[in-house]
Amino acid sequence: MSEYSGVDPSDDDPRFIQRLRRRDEHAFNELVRMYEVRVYRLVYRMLGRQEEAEDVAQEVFVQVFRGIEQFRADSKLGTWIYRIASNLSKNRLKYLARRRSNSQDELTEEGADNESSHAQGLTLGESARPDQLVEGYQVEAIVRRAIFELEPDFREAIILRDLECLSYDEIGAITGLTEGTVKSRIFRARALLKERVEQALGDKIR
Amino acid sequence: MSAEEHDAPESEDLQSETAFQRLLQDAMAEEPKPRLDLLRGVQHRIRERSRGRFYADRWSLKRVSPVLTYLVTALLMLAILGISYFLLRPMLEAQGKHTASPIGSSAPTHK
Repeated sequence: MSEYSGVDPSDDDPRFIQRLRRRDEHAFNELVRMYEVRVYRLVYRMLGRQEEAEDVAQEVFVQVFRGIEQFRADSKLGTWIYRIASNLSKNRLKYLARRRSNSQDELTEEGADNESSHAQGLTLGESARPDQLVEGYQVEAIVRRAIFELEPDFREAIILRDLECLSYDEIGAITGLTEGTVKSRIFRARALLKERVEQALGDKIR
Repeated sequence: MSAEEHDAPESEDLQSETAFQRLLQDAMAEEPKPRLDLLRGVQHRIRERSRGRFYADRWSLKRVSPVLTYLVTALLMLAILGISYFLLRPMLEAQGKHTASPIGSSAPTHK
């Protein structure tokens, strides 16, 4: 389950923001520690590559450090950081696409590796129906692949809503879209995802 | 209102949304963790890009002029040499007296 439930009570403290604006290194360290897991998780889910995700996640915090003066207190600090993370991830995806580097493979392959290792580690006694178990792993792998095959905007919507469990309002603040557009995008992303998963499952059955 | 908004559903089936979320969360259950220390990497980047203004390490020469550093080091070395000299001088003098006096007293005199 996602750790994100809005923002931490301490990080919107005006004194903390003030320390960040003064470029207090200790305050900034606290901020990085507070958000590193969430930022990395979002970026990794967007990019699907560990090295790229590590690079972009670090870049997110450098941008936060540089741009903290531009942060307006009308939005939450966490939302603002998520917006930077999301934008940088999408920019990186565009860059990788230009380099014809498919950024989805590693996670899917890693997942497939894990699945096979899980499957190898299990004995028949641990599962009443090994065929169901394998089927379950296959469905998860198909879903994972389908997520990474979505267009970045749809992927972002699905990740923010269904994996990070953010509210429509928060997603709107991150993406800069109206609530109606956010709902619509999530609806279309889910429909597209379902369609692709069903198609892939159909292909498997045939 | 954007074209995208026109496609928005009137209401979402909460149950199917929850089921869908569960399916996705199961598929993406693996919690990704960075292999490296992100904070250290961030500090390094900020230090480099600010040319040592932020997150400068204690011994970094980037914050102060190298000439000043050399000057301070030279003065420090001189001070250490001076202190050593003043501390060791009485010992050397005492040793000198101790070794010189027997030789001086027993030196043969040619008359």
